[in-house]
Amino acid sequence: MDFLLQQTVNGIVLGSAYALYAAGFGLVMANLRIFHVAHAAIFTWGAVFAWILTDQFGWSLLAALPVVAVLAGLLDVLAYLLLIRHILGRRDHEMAAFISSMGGLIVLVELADHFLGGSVVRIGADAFDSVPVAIGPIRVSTLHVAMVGLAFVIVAVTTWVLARTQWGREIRAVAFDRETASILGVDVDRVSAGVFFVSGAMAGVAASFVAMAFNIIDADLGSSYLVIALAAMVVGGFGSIPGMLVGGLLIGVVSTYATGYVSSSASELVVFVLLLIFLALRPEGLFRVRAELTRV
Amino acid sequence: MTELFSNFGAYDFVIRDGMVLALMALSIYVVLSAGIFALPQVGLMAIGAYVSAIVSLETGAPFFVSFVAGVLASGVVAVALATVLRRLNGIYLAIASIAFAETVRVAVLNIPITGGAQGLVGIPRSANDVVICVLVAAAFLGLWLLKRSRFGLAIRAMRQDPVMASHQGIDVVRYRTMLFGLSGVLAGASGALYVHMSGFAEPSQFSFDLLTQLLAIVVIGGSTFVAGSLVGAVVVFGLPIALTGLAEYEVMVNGALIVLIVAFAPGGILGLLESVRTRRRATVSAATGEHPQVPKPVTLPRPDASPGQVNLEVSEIVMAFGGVRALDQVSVQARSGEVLGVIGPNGSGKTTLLNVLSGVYRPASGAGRLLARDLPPLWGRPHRIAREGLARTFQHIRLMDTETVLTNVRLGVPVGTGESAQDRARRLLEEHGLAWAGHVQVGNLPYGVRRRVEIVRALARGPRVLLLDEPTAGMNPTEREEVFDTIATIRDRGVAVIVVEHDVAMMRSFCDRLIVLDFGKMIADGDPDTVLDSKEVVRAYIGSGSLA
Amino acid sequence: MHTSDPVLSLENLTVAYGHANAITDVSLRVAPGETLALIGPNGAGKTTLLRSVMNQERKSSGRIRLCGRDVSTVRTARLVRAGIVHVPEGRHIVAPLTVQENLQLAAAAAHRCPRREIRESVAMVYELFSPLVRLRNKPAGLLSGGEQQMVAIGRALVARPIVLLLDEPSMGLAPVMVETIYTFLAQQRELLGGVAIILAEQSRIALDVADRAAVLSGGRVVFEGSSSELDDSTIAAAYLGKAQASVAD
Repeated sequence: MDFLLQQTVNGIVLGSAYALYAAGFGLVMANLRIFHVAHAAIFTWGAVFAWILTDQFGWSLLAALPVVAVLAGLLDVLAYLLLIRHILGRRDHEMAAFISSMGGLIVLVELADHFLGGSVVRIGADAFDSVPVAIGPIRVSTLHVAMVGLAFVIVAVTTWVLARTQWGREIRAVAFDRETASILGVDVDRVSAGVFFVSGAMAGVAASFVAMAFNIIDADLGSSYLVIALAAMVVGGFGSIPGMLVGGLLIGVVSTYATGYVSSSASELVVFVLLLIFLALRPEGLFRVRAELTRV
Repeated sequence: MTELFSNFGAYDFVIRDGMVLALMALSIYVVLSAGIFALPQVGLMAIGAYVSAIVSLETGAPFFVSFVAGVLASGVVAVALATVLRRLNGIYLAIASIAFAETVRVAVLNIPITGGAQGLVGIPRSANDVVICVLVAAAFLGLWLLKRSRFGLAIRAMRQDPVMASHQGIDVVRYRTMLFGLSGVLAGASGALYVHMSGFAEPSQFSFDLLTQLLAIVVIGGSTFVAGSLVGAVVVFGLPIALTGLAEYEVMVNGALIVLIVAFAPGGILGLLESVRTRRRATVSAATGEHPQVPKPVTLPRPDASPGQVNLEVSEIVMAFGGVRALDQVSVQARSGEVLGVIGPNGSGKTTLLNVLSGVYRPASGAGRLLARDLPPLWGRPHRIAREGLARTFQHIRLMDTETVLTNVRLGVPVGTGESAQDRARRLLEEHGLAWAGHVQVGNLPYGVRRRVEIVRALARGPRVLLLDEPTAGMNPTEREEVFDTIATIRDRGVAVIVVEHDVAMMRSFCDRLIVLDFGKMIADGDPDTVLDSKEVVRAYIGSGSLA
Repeated sequence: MHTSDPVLSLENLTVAYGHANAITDVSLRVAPGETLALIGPNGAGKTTLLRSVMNQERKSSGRIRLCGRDVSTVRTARLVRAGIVHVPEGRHIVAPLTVQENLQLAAAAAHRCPRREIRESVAMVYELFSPLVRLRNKPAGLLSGGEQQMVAIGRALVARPIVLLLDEPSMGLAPVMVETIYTFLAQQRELLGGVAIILAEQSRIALDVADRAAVLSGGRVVFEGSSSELDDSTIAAAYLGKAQASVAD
């Protein structure tokens, strides 16, 4: 029983990292209905920024966090301007945006590889003063608690912003139809750039924690989580932010169970079998988005 | 003798790799060129690779047998996948299919028979250079022939406009499944070839990185050209050789090249070449050619209206969108040898009615009959209705702008008419005074001519019922009269014609019968003069106040 | 009213689609507080004309002036903030958002103003179109056509227009809904003050609330004058082709 509880907690920790990664993806998808794969490279660069600030400049992780968020956000805005913006008006923009973004992914990953000299770097343990905590029989660290807390806070704030604020309404209006949004006075281009900024910032924050917790940074960091993030999106429902959280957590927990009760190699397989089941039986995911409410 | 590439020194492996990956790129080409954004190919390749490797290793079967086993396995899986993912489109299909590919890779890592992470070794290296060349050449030739066939034409139509394609009798869902299967066959073939060339198989070969490399090949070469894969492979594999000094930047250059190609040359290198060529040709034809005068078709006298049999009939159709009833209990009969005009204010449901009749929508309730067929089972399947003898044109012209007039009309010719599609298309163009335009790209034609091309394409089906949605929109009065003369000719051949049009004056003088829609309800049906003078119609059109 | 300076003027506007002109050399103007009925049959170019004002169609030639200032190349969103507000044909409400959200979105997108003012603007719409009150939390896509039209007009009003472009507000609406909309249009002067309105309609109903009328046919203005001068035979010729038909016979 204790083992099960411990595994569940570990799964939630892992899942919240997945969720943060996937939520950034999902935000862009909800706004522009495109698959911005270069997000994976933004994640990698977020971790690299965190490493530079903590390891090279000696900052603490928490102090570095806002700066990492801004830098990763700006990088994603740059990706929007260079890779996506000119493609949005095209008839085949879904395919073109994916391919263009993939070109960007390749370039950014290669740049990271050159920057790191092809090697693996680590954030020193002193960047975050993590203390083990025991709650009953369960043992976690303050780092893990911070990670889970942050995932919940970010998802909650994003959901709130989307549902309740003017900016959120503008994002949803742009997602529905760019022309309709513009006749209401919404500056469509600025809304999209803002979405990329926030999405990039989320990737930066997620990457900082993942880099700290799993203590490994290389050029393929983002790409290696890409497919898991896709799985979280499929399970959670494309474009729904709370769906990303649930999807991420579910996948985190399921894969931790598989590691704990079967073997570590089985965990990935279990995740993908779950994914295939969802694809076959419920391709729209747990949280249905904009199914009936298409334009009349 | 079987080592064709050994004279190329250290590059022989590159050439072999390049050829197999060009084959693999073809499996991406076949779906992308049909406008289907599906990327399961790396997973399918892995299936082909492992199945053929295991057959070779476990049974000692000859290369040919294991090759076919790999190809079949991946083809079958591809068809099954198409069925599972049939409801997904766009990025969702892309994501789901990439996820499938990753699932295959992870499964391979975890199943004992595939050797896990170590992979399989000692696979007979029976795919020598001759075998590779023959198979790759066969694939290119086959796809090239396919592209020139009717199937290829149907695929191009599907890419540009699935709704239009389905109205030409093309079963879009079945074609999509077949293309998935073809993609699987090609991916399986390259996988089987690959392992029998290198002698080993390991899961890391089939990762997302391979997909990015393949997409680079397809996109750089040109995703709508068969030869695009070859050109792309030459660039992607040749670039590192050309950039030997900059070896460490070769991948980055590929990435930047993708971004630039998508931004500035969406058709890839071959697309760029083609557009340069056609631009030159277009300026030539603009300089030399003025369009010959259109011969005015003979106007046949109006028959003394003895309306023939009922070719199409729907009754009590209800079609609702959200809370809005676009059609409310509408019943229509179209008789052979009669032009039935549908008029009504904007938004009264005219186009919705045509969309119900041609099968785009599934009405909430109602009944119907097309010739001897019961309609309701065919609703939502325009290709079936088209095959039963109904053809239509669209409010916004739906032609393939980058194809010639002849090709567009050829698309309308149904399979199995006895006559060759080419001949039939040519004859129809001649009959309608468009022979001069046969080899002109549709996009270069004036609006009025394009409208007429669309009508000829509809006639190519030899329809018993013809629906025309605003056939004279954007035309000048002379052109309008010509179109209505053509319509009269069609009617006199016994076709039931339904015309939606705004030009009420034209409709009054050319239609045999008019129905008037208002708020989705039919408010009048009968002789044009009587209908147009009825108070209710005048009110619907011009608002309150008397006008008569 | 004719003497006052136009708030919006279209000067020699031409829009081409490919080879054909959708509108040709159209010049029109509206003064503050004036309602101009722009009527014409389907396909006459009314929608294209209004869309080109909003810079949603590329103009081949011609200018648009707002209060004398050339706004021909100003982007759509900026035009809205400058005071030209468009209620498009087919309404184009944001279907997944609720009625309330549609109104809030429009109010705040057009003017970055305090929350209190937004609340007041939105409240005014509920007062004008009382049926919307009980629908406020319903996704707008599920409303009937008439209710959606109320949302669309309400959305335009909260943007506090100087010029209001209405494209076929009665299209596809049940008579009782048309009446609601037109009752509002008849009273708008007292409610809104000096807003200039271009009211594009297929139906002559627009003439009932207009000061002046222009008839568009085949992309050209074939009549312009006070709405009372516009006689039935002119309309009939442009619409039902009665004059033409008798000539043809």
